[in-house]
Amino acid sequence: MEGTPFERRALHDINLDIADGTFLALIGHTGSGKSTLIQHLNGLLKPSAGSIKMGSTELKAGGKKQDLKSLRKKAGIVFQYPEHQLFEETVEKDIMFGPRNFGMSEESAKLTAAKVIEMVGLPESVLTKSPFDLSGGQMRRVAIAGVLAMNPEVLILDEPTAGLDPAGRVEIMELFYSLHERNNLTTILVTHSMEDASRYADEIAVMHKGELYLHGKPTDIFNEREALKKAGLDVPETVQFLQKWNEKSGLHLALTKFTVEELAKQVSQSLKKRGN
Amino acid sequence: MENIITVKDVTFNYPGEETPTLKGVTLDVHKGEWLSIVGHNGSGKSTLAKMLNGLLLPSEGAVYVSQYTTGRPDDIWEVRRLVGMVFQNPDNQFVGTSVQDDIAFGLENFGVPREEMVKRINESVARVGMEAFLNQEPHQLSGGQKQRVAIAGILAQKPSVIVLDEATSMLDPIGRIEVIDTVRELNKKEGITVISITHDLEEALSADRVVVMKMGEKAAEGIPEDIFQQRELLKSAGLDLPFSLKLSEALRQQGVELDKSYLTQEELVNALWKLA
Repeated sequence: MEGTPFERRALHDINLDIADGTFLALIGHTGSGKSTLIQHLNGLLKPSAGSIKMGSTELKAGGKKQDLKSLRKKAGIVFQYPEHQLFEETVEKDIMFGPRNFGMSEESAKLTAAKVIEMVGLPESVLTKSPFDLSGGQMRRVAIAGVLAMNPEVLILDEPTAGLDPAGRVEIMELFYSLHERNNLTTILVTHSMEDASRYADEIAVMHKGELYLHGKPTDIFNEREALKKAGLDVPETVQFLQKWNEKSGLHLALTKFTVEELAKQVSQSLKKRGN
Repeated sequence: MENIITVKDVTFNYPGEETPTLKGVTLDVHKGEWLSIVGHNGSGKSTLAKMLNGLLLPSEGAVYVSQYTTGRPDDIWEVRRLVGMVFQNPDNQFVGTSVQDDIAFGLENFGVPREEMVKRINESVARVGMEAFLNQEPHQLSGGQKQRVAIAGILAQKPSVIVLDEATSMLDPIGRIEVIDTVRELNKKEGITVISITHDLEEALSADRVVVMKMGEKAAEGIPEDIFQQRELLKSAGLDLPFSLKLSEALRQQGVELDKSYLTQEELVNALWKLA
């Protein structure tokens, strides 16, 4: 709201390069600017200063009406509670809406719908149903299928597991991870969960007070526990535990993968060594 | 032990649904305890929560709150005053245009005189640490702050029980701690009974008692130490294991001879140290 008393700078001097094929976790607490940042990535918001470049498309501050359409086709956003955006009579029509808007023929859009519904792990029979007769988890998958139907190169996920139970959370995250791997996507995951970030991301970017506060590989980020705490965050439980074990045992173990299995392996090996 | 709520043989069918959402549930809630109710989506835990203050009424069986019955129209106002609910979405439970208007709304409904109202509003916002925000508008508050206002609104009615229906699931980690700490203080210092419907297993670990819901039935009930040792039960109820238990198990699979599964990281580190 430029020029009004409500004007407030939500982002400040962000410089971030995301390489092709990266799985980036964008983490930070409410109000840190992460949602504002991703809304810039497909032109929902335009920068007051600076520019955003995606592939060959560039969005500049103060520029003319730019090629938003190609930017939006390139970057698909799965918003929070995406199931709230379903509106059509049938699942098929809902999924076809995006592609049709971008000029795809009815026939190809139908084929696309059949393809993407399978990608999100739902049976084809769902296509003829009303989205509102489905369970919450199924509705979310349909909404995700609608984004995939645009065949994006970059997938932006804004807290995609919010409100799901633990089993549902794992399922959806595994779904995104396999899509990322199989389709060579670039994925940006906005999350509160350091656990999810540690499990799936190649890189972590931490937002704090509208600035890019930390950016690097998970192992590097987790070395900055004090800095993370200042931003209201903490290292994942696996790292917390290993730090406690290191303190107690005087060892300097480090994790390369942040799973419970990897942690158990490291700790049990350190016990065996002491036993010898 | 004195019971504040008794749920007796409650069965509940949503209109038009063939299978009951709750099947013969019997449950005592002890005065002053923190009771966590866990279960996957669709297990009936939220339906059970709505039974506790008469938002839903049993198809069969009865729910007693203190000396009142939720199914008796003469009792329902007293039931709702005694049992306050905090829901999942902080944005859906704000009705006033400011913090004090919001709390006043509930009191007006109960016909509390103005002077008494002012006194109760000031007192209840102080108990949740929101006294500096009396004239703030809802959209200026964080999710955690909104939930604390919702709790203040309940406190102003002088309740005996607070039901948290996944009240922290949409909050970021800071907001979650804010709300849980606020409620914990009310529970410990003022003896308010807390019933928390939650997916957060770490929160359930610190409860006095835990109830596991599964397919509309009560699958188990007990202290966290007992409930969380029952791996098969948790798995069949679609629940994840808390971190330290998962790690204990993974360590045993690596051949570490732990005598039991530990609930906290500190206990587990100490147990491992003894093996070293």
